[in-house]
Amino acid sequence: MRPSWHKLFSDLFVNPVRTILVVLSITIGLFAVGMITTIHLIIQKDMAEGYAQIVPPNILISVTNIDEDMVKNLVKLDGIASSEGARKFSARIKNIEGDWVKTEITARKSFLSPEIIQLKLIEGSLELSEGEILIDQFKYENVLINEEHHVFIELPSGIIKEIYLAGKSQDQTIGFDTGGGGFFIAPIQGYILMETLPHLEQALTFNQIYLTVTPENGNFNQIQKIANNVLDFLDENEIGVVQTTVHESATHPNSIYVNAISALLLVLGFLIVFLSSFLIINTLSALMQQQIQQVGIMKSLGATKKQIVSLYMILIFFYGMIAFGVALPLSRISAFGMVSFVASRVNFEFLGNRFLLFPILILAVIALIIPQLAGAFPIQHGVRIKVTEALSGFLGQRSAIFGKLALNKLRISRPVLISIRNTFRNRTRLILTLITLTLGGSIFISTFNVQIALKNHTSKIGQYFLADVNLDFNQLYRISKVQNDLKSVDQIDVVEGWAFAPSQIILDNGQAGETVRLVGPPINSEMIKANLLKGRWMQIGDHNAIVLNEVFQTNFPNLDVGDTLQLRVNNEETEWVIIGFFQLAGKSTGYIAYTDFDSLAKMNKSFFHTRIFRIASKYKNLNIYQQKSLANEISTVLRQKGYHVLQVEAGLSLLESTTVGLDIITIFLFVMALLIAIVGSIGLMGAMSLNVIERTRELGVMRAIGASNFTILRSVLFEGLLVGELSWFLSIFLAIPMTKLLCDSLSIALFDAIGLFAFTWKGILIWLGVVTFLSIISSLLPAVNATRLTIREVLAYE
Amino acid sequence: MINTNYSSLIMTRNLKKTYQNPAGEIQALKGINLVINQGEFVGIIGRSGAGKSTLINMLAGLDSITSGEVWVENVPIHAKNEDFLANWRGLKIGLIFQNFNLISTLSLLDNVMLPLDFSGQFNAKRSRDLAKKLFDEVGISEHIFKLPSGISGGQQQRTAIVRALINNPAIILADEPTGRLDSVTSESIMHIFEAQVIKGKTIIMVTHDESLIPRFSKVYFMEDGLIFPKNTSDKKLK
Repeated sequence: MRPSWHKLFSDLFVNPVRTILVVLSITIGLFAVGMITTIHLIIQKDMAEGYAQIVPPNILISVTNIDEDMVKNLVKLDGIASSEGARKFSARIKNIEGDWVKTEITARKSFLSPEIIQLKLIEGSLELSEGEILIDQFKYENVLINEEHHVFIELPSGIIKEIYLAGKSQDQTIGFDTGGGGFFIAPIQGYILMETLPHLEQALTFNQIYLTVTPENGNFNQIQKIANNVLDFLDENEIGVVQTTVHESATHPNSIYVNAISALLLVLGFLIVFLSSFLIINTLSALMQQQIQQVGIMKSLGATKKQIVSLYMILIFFYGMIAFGVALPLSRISAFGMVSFVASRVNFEFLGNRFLLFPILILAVIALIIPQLAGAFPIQHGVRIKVTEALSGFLGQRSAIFGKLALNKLRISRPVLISIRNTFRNRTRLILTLITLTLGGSIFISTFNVQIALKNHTSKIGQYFLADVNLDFNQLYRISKVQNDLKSVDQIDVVEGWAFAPSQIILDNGQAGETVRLVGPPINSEMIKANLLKGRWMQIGDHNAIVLNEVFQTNFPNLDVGDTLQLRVNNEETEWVIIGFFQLAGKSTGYIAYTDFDSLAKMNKSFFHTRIFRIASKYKNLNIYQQKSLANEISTVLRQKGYHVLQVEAGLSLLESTTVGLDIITIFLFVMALLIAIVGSIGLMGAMSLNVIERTRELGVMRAIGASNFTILRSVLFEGLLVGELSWFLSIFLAIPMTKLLCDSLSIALFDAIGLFAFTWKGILIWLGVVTFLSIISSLLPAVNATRLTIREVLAYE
Repeated sequence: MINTNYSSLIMTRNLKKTYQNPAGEIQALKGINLVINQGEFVGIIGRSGAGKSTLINMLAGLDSITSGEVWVENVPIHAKNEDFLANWRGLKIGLIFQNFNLISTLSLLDNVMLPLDFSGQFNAKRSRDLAKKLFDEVGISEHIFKLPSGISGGQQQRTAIVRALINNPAIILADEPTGRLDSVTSESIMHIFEAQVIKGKTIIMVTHDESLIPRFSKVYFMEDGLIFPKNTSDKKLK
């Protein structure tokens, strides 16, 4: 082997700590990019493809009643590819805590390869028999299953049935008709055959219509047009329509969360590539600093610039390749693990580990190009140094003006003064180190800020769910009677009857469009404090006044306060005056509108009666367990009095369900913050350690002239902490625009508007702790090693 | 640029070198005029800071010239770029330093073969054979696979000499080659140099050791950036 190759390999293996630090800094950058690229590539693809594979309906229509022949006839309408009927109803199921909780049961003719909505079997069998039930995986663990593998269903009449549990399945269409957030607030889902309906006191007719459209009619507007034709057809046949929902085949109900994650990934990915590049530049600069004397020797022996540059470029190529070999499998494992985690939380199917060429190519290109580009500057700088300077190892470092001007006047001890001057001595290195650490710190702090911004938003959403207990009945009850009967529960302060009604927007062409959830609390309700974006909330004296959520603003930008909105409520066209807009949980919540109880009760023709109540305790700020205890007490009292209770649940559980989608983004951000902390930490450790390794000889000189090991360690520690804390201070300021960038990306993905922003000391303090700890470790370890060498060894150190 | 053809092997004309440092301007060479012919063993004597090493650096093209001219074998060193000088050095000049300047992570053999690698003169086998032969000549052939840290200072300097000779250069420039060695080792190094002069090499050696004056065929004194010739008898080494 030629001597220059020997030199190359000796540079790789003679100083393993240095090689590990260089490889690690490249690896961590590649790992982050590889992981982010892989997630970005597969998360949206898996969601869309996995969802399309189950053949979701493009149109879902809830009707009062429809028979099989009529459902079959719908296929004859233009653009319809297939149709299927189902029956969906609510009941109660016993959970593992022994409580009765709401369940939604869907009855279909068969679950074996249906044309629309194919359930995925997780365990058991899809081949159901009469009297058997499947439970969806999402809340499966909550269901009480007895030794005979039966579950307990309480029918609206109060009769309890034991049904054999045939298996566990996954239904990706949960939340299809209630917006993305609907999945999280959906109750336990059960699936039975139509033949089982009579056992559960249900009619043998359909109330759900699933329709798919022909492939050439796949875009949203075309589907909407076809849906309107279907609605006209149903209207002509006097079939009452309750609700219509339209989706494209590849649009998963929870796609908003994955879109938000993708938006964050894009910004974070860019920042991490930037950070990694600086990390690599910094590390390679330190490496070249150590090699300067050897560069001088080689030049004195006749090596041209080109030969030296080639030698170091090949060395960097090897570093890059080792890093590539480590980062590729690690990034794949992490990315697939992350997508699998998100898939399980957001109800889509992770299509499994697979070969992906693009991330490999990206990593290979980055492994080859970024270190070379990053190394080009320090290498060029290194080979341009005069041979005589390089041979002396003295690079004509400028004196620290800062130290000269200010520090001499301060009463600072000589070793500390030396530490400060050392810190500012090599300004290029200091700037590079500071940029790397500041970038890492600011991204870390920003991810915390985004988490807090999301949390603040969640707290605001909590203002819509101030009730301690939410009570749903199977039938209408007179409000004053329920209020009176609950007086026996001491803890109760207020009982409010709320009205709810599904409705549909009437479009300009007169046809019904998207479904709107109309909510009608009493006009002076104390259980909701809306976050108004525009206009005002309801006041006494308002009639048919309506406050709309932000989804209306996004999809109907021309709508404004004072305009009239036409809605189809209970098959009647009604007019409402828009008095304001409020913000809830973003696009995922679908269309929600608040009006006053009386206006909505009028539409429902249920004056003074309702099925839904909101109850507040006398005691403020109950936790979820206290709320559950109150809910149980209310349930017992009402059952004793003969009420048909469908569901009594703690107020906070509804808030938890509503915000669980945002929690997934928070968890994702936390993982990203961890990743960035690791990148930043390795950057910090690498930079600090190389700084100290580089000064090993200098430390030996200091020891030779009488400095004790303690003095050396103190000096090195001071320098490390000075750089670390300086970067921390700078990162606080850089975190402001970075937080804004991340928050804006997330806000646009979630709400289609800029709105989120928060700045918290939490991330700043955590990063201060991380920086301080790592500064100490990464400065002290090499310094301790340096003090362990004999002075003779250190002075000979190269 | 005047293209002048000089008959001498090395010639400088009014060579000046000025350094800038935080303390101000330092004139290291203040107009050096020097003529060296082939086969001479030239000693440049002077105290620390006199400008001896700077002069060697100028002659080897290791540092830029502030003003004046340096001609080596009719090549205007002062007018050439760094890459030309690197190639030229690799083929024509052998450099020896006081602190040996061996690459600490390479074996002695690799250190010695490295210049051949850069100049691309010979293949690996021929380079190795040549290196081994030269190691034999300086008497350290049993150490060639050791790292520099595993041998004595004298052995390191012999390795540096072998490295300087490996390209068979016409000129050897030695900067205080005995400065870090004991008297016995220094003597052996001087013997090696004398043997090379007999073979026709031109050696310019910088030293502060006046006791070595009788060993040189031509001697210059340097002080404060100026050079003065000492008239010595035209001693021919046998």
